[in-house]
Amino acid sequence: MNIDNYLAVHADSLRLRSQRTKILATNIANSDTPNYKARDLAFAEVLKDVGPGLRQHHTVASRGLHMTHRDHISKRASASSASIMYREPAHASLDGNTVDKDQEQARMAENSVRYQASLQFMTSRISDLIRAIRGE
Amino acid sequence: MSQSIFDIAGSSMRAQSQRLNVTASNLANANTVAGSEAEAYRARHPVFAAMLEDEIGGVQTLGIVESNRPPQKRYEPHNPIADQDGYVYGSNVDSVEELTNMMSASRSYQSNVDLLNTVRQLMLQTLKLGQ
Repeated sequence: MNIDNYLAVHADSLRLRSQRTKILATNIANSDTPNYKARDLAFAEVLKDVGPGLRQHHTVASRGLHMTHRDHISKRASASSASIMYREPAHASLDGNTVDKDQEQARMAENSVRYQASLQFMTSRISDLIRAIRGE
Repeated sequence: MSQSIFDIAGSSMRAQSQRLNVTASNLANANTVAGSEAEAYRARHPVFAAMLEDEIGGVQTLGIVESNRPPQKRYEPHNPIADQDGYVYGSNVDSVEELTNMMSASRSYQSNVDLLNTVRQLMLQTLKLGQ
């Protein structure tokens, strides 16, 4: 068993969640900026990209890129700018801004709960490991 | 280097408090008069722009523009600063506009403070991971 692999799903999930927090923070920060367009992470797309690799060995994606040399940069779960998409505005505003502050805050709350869930999973896995090491 | 969440929310708080400052200045000067059209107080408004690096980033103030609405010309011949025709020039501040601006700015500021609190808690929990 590989410890890195053992924690991989949740580690990747935490990384993506914190990246999404940044994007949502950007939206909230720019809620009064003229012509700013709200963005969000297309979560399903990013997961589809890293998903198959996660289960076996998350540093080598099973489709797309393969690591054939030790200097190759490993493929980890990170949102490239391609998976950051513009949000469909619910209503148009005069200054061209598409941020809906209430919606952003709701998504922020959802995102932080999911982040905490991943943290919780990580914590329980780590305590499982410690228990196994101590032989309790 | 990409900006941290604290930079992003902080930049927005700075921008919004600058907007509150400008609004306060406008409201304070709403009833001032001047002896000529050029000297009349004009409402000022900050111009915001996103500073994006890699699609992520805070907000910056590009500058402060003065409203080009014409000042109110009033006939007050007994006012000591009136021009030779007896006119004084009041500011072009629209109090209703300034008040709505103030509410919008304070709500945005609050959203950013809420966001900072949430992120701070998440980070503290992350620090305690595995303990």
